[in-house]
Amino acid sequence: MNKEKVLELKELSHIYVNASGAHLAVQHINLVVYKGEFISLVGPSGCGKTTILNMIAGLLAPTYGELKVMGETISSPSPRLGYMQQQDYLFPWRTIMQNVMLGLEISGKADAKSKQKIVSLLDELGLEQSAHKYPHQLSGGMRQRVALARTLITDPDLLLLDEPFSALDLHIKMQLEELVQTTLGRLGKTAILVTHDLSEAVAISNRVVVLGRNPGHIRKIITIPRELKEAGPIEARKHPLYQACFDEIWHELDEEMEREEG
Amino acid sequence: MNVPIQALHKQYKEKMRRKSLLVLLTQILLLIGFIGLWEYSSNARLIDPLIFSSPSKIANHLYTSLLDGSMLPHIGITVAETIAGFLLGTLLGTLIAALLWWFPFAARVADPILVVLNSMPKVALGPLLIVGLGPGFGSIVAITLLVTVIITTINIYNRFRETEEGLLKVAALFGATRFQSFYYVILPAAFPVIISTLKVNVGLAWIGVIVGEFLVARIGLGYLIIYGFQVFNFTLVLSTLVVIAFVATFMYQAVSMLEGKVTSGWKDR
Repeated sequence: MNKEKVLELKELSHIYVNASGAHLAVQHINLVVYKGEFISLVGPSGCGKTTILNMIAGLLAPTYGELKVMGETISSPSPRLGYMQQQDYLFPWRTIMQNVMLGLEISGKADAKSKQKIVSLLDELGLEQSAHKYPHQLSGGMRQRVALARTLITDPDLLLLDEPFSALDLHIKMQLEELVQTTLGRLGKTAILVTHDLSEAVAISNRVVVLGRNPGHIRKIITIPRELKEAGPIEARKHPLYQACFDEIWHELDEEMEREEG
Repeated sequence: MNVPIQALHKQYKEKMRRKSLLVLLTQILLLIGFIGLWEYSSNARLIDPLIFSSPSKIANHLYTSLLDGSMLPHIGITVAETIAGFLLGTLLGTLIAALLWWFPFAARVADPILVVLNSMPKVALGPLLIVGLGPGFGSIVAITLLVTVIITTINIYNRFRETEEGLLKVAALFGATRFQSFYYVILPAAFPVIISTLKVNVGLAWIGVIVGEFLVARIGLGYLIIYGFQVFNFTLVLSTLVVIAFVATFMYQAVSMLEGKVTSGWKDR
């Protein structure tokens, strides 16, 4: 694997401050992500998965610690980072084409070639018929694919996926996992996925980061055997090595629960 | 088994068509019945013909005054005042809402002021405006503005604030500036509300205009009503009301059509 560092987190911590008090959400997060890697963050709810993702995205400033994307400190959102949310959040007043165009318009990069680029990206994602439709005319799975296209069109170095498959039916979800994995693999993209679905984490990732809570911290980083990743998310779930990985993560989360209940 | 899908659909459509036809028929019958009863009771002096006039007298008056053109300038000026009023009211209200969104501090300061202004009967300020702006077109449009602008500001500002966080996050993640967030997300997301406010304002603008004309005008449909009342010509009053009903409905429908056009593609989720 190419050892170029895409993301570096050093002693990252965040404290939320509001009217009811200050609350330490995550602390001492250390993680290096290399080019082409697919990393999953799993953990009990309230362990700060989304906080970490929002910090990486530049939406939330770290209270302490350092955060570098491609060697540069990030302090505000930029099109170099792509972010997919749980829901597609397509703009209902824009056609699919216009929705995908959004990132280019905002960053002032829309030009004569943009439309052609979008058409071929939509083709690759199996949305060739949809360019001039409106979001409400599409199914949930198709809309999430449009959201993926909208994220990819600005050609980000790093993709942040905040449970983008969680609202979909199992079948559609697994198809989309497959599509995301192959698309990102082909484009050589790096991705960080937040998920609460352990089987998804095992089936799609190179490494799984298990988080504990109160405050959020990294418990363990588990490397998934290459064979699983190469099998693809659907086949990986049937692979002989799959269960062992799943059990290891399960065990970690169990221990985390016990530690808390202590 | 061969399921007769087409036939069932046809049957269903036929049933629906009959139902709407029945509704329309009932509406027409009601109208004819109302006019007939009115005419009869007026002729038979069951109601005072001086006050309630009669459909035939109204029709006759409308026919002559429309034909000789004496009604037209009144319609023209009132329609102009109304259109100016509801367009300006909606535009200005949207603009103020945008400013309040842009300056949250100003919004917090303005909140109680808006509440007070909204609960106040704005037409009560009419005399002030007339003295300030002089009797005529300007002060009447100003009264109309006063009636429409506050509620427009409140509605649209609330809509701005209720914009889906997820949509704003999408724009923010692309590095959108505050202005871009407004231009790409807040404003288009509020469009259906702006258009429906425009519809509400058509109705409110009529109130403003007619009251304004009651107060000062020497021309316009409101003036005709007041004049008819002063000379005890209630045929004139009622004829004018009929004209107002027609023109106001037409205006409302026109805005409805505009609404359909503007928001044709998308549906709110």
